[in-house]
Amino acid sequence: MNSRLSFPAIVILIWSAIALFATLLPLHPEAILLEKILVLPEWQAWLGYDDLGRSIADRMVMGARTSLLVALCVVSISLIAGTVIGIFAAWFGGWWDNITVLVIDIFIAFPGILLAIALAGLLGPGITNAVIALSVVGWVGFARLARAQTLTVKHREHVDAARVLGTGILRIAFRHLLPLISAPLIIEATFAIAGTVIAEASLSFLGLGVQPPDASWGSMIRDGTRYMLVAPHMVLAPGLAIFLVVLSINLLGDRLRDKMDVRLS
Amino acid sequence: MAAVVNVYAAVVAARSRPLLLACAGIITAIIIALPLGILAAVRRGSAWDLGAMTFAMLGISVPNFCMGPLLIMIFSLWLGWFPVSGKEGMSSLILPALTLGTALAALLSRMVRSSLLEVLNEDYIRAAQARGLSDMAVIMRHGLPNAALPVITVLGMQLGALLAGAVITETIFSWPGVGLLTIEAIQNRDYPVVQACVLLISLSYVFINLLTDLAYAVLDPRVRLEK
Repeated sequence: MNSRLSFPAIVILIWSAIALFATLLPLHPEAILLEKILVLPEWQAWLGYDDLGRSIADRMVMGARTSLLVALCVVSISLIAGTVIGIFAAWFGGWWDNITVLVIDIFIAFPGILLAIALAGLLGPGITNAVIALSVVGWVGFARLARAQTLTVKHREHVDAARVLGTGILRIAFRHLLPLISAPLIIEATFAIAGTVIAEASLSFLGLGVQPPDASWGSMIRDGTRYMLVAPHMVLAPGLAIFLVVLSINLLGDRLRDKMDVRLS
Repeated sequence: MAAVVNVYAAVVAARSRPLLLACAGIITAIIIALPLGILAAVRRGSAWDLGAMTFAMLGISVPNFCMGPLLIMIFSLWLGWFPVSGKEGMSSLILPALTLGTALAALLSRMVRSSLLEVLNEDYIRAAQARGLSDMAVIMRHGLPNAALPVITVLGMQLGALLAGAVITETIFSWPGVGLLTIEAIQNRDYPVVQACVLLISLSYVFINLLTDLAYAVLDPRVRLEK
């Protein structure tokens, strides 16, 4: 199979394109058509209408935007924060490293998504707070990975040479450490995107993420579960979308891992 | 003090058997994953292997809030085999346990397959086969115990995800457990109960990880000797 245009790559491309250009499309995700309440898919609206008579196809597009934006925000915040914290902990060692490891261990003692649920609950529902809650939980994995990787390359000759030449820590980190430790971090980030898509949908499903009338795949499933008998399409459409996106990211991540030949613990 | 007693009453007394669902989920996962992983490892490269690993990939990618409604739709609404939600005896435990167990089963079967494949090339397996033991005995007596350690590690680590997944699964099935209590408490801004629930779930997670570490010593004599 051609690796550049395989099935998962196509799914991801469609997802990103829809999400990025959602605002340019003539959509009415909040327009209520009372005579269309719970109408099954028909030839004009191929995904039907929800319990308030809103077009599910339009809301799916806005949901794609929500999930992509949240996933990108959370993963980039976690990746940057975690990598910086991990590299500096391993580089400086001593009490700074001890404190970092202690904090990481405390975070790992809590099941991740549970902490995010509790945090999102305490901060109050809302998409910004969901991003904050998921990032607070998300940086830990990257920090642990970056710290472990930095420890293994810290004493290589080229790093010692750079240090002897008087190179600053920032320059060493960016030019001499990051290129060596980036492969596992990038792969971890790929899987983190899949995890964040599920986590965002979970929070929205529980009513802690996106607030109405904004659309999220998770909140669409929650609304749909109440009308499963009469309108199964309300659950099936967003459920299938989440499934396809997460499956594609996982498949791409596996392929990326094989290509870069990295073994994650 | 009264508040403390009330929180305790809410968390423990009102919700008897708080971790029942999580335990049912683990058992389901093991029941599905063990045969599947063994079959995939023994018949490596066959249609069985391909099927089991496809199931694993699909299972990992279906979040449990998709799986739950789907199972309700098929087994409760169309087939009418199980109750839709609530807690009415054993039959209402099956769908939540399946919902919770599938993702873990998918992950576990991959792990069982890969660690069993590593073990199956060892000399002692060949020795056991040379002694004329049946395939079943070779795998059950000599293969599985040696492949168990990495599987148990993953099981212990994934338990956190399972406990948190129980929060969502309990919400889907209106199952009266700690998870549903957490969500209700968050919606009611009842922070002491939220804290108590998070603490309870996290403590169970830490406790189970401790049990995992102890299980190493039981399974692997080398861990005991090195102490």
